[in-house]
Amino acid sequence: VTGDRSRRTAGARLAVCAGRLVVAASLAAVSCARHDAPGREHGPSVHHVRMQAVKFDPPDLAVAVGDTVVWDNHDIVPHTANALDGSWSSGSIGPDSSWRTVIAGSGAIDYTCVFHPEMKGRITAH
Amino acid sequence: MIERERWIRMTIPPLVLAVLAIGMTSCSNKSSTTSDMSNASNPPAGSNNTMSEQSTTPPATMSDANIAAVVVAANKADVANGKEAKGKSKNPDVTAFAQQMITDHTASNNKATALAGKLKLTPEDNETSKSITAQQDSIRGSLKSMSGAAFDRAYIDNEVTMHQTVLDALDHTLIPSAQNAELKQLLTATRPVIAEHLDHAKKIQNKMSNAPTP
Repeated sequence: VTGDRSRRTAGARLAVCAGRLVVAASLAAVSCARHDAPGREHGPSVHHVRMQAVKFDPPDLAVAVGDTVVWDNHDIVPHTANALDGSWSSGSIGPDSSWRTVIAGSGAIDYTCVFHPEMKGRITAH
Repeated sequence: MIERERWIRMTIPPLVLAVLAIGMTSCSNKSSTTSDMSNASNPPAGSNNTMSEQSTTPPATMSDANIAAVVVAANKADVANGKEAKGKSKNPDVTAFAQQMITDHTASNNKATALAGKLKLTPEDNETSKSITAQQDSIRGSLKSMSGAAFDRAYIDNEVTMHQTVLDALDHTLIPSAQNAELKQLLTATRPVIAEHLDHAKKIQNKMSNAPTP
């Protein structure tokens, strides 16, 4: 009897464990699905644009609405990041300094450095 | 037009001397010093070395102290040129460019001065640095007697020539000669800035050339 009870108990524990594993696996699957989705379930992201050699790197950046973009000046001279539609403008960003903004609306925004008109970049927000 | 011809007569000889001064120094690297402006944004191929082939001058070297003096001289001269243009020109392209020169060359000089201090490197004047200072002082003297479109054109012409000369010097003399790694890195970081200035100045120059004569 003791042996039967022991086996039943062990079986029950195994069933519970198996159930828990199934639940955990299901949660993990849902979690993975959310990671792969392009939505905002994990909150806004922060993207960095490097200013170096009188260029924006990357010159084209895709973001989601609400994401933050940080411009880091690794050059020896000041730069700016000014949206051509006037939606944002950094002012002078000195060497070894940064400036950030939150992208509020969707669509493509071309921007430039007002000090160095050859520097051109684009942010595309979805 | 007469004013412009007088300007050309006054400035070309010192410009040629300055280019030659830098060119002679650059012979040590067996590289070209010809001003191929189409290559402003690209590193030199180093295959067109007419000047070095013709020269029998023994290879010259430039110390880090010499290089620091050249950098300081070029930066100071272009800040002074920019201040002259910003205070005098009514052309928005020219005043914007002049402000850019003041901002960038001041920043560049601050970086160079800070690095020299860190490395305990005292800039040592040499033929090239003296030539840049003398040449640009002379040109600024000429600019002071000019006005209007003639001034704008003369200022931009000089900026094109000067930045091309500095770019050649960076490629053929300054960067290859630099011994200290941080100094070499600073010079390398300076190159794209000078190339952008040159491209910008040439665009203004072309715009002026294509503008209808009043």
